[in-house]
Amino acid sequence: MVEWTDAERKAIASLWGKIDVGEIGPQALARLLIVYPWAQRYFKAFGDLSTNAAIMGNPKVAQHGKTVMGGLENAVKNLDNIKQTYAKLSVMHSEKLHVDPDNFRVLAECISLCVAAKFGPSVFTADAQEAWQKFLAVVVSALGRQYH
Amino acid sequence: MVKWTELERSTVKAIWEKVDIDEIGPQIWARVLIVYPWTERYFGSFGDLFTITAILKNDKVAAHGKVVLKALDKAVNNMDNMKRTYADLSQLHFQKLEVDPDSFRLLADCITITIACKLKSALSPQSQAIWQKFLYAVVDAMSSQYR
Repeated sequence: MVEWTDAERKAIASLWGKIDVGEIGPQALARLLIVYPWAQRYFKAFGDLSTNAAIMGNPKVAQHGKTVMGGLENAVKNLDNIKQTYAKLSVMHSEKLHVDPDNFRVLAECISLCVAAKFGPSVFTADAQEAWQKFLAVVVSALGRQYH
Repeated sequence: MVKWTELERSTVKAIWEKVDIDEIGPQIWARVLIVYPWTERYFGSFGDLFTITAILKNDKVAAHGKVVLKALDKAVNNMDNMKRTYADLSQLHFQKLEVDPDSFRLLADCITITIACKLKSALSPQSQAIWQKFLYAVVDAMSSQYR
C-alpha cells in the first residue's frame, strides 16, 4: 500500500483546495488531445477536433475535462484506498472503452503542467510537485490495475 | 533524423529566449532530486541532500542545474544535428557516469514543469506540443550511445 507522509497529505489537500476543476480539467484534456493527438481516437463522438482551435473551443471536450478532473476528488478523499476507489472505473476503461492505459500517464502529465502554469513556482513548489505527481502516479496505477 | 518545421524552430527558440539559465537551472535540478529522489544516487559528492530544504539550498545542486541547462542550449542551436551534438555527452553518461537513461526523461519532465511555472498560459498547448517534441529529441540523443 502507498505510504503518504503528513507533508504529502497536506500538500495534496492544499493544492486540491485551490484547483478549480472547471478551469483546469478542460485545459488538461484539450492539451492531451493537442499534444498527443492519437488520444483523439477515443473521442470520435465529440465532433470537431480537427484543429487546435476546434479542440480548445469544443464544449464536449470542456465538459469531459471537468468530469475527469472532478473524478480526482474521490482519490483526494481516499488517499489510503485509491486502488479500490478506482476499481470500477479501471474495469470500464479497459473492457468497455478500450483505452490504452498509457493515456492515463500522459493525461496526468498534462494535468500537472496545467497546475504548474496556473499556480507558478511559489505555490507549485518542488515539494508540492513531488506530492502531486506521486498522487497522480498512484491514480494512474489504480486506473490501469484492472486491465488484463 | 527529426524534421522540424519553421514554426517548430521559432517556437523552441522563443521559449528558450525566455529561459534564464541562472534562475531556472537550479530550480529544475532541485525538482528532479525532490520529485524523483532515486536520482540522488548519482550525486553522492554533493553533500547534504537529506531534506527538501537542504536540496533547495545546496550550492552544488544549483551549479549543476546551470551546467545542464547550458548544455541544453547546444540542442536549441543544433536542432538538425542533435545526435552528433550529444554523442560525447551520451557516451559520458553511459560509460563513465552510469546514469539510467530513464533519468533523461524525468529531467525533461521537470524542465517542462518549471518552464510552465514561469511562462504560465504563454506555454500554449501548441507550444507545449512543440517543446515536448524538442525534449524527446534531446532525450533520444542523450540515450543514443547507450547499448
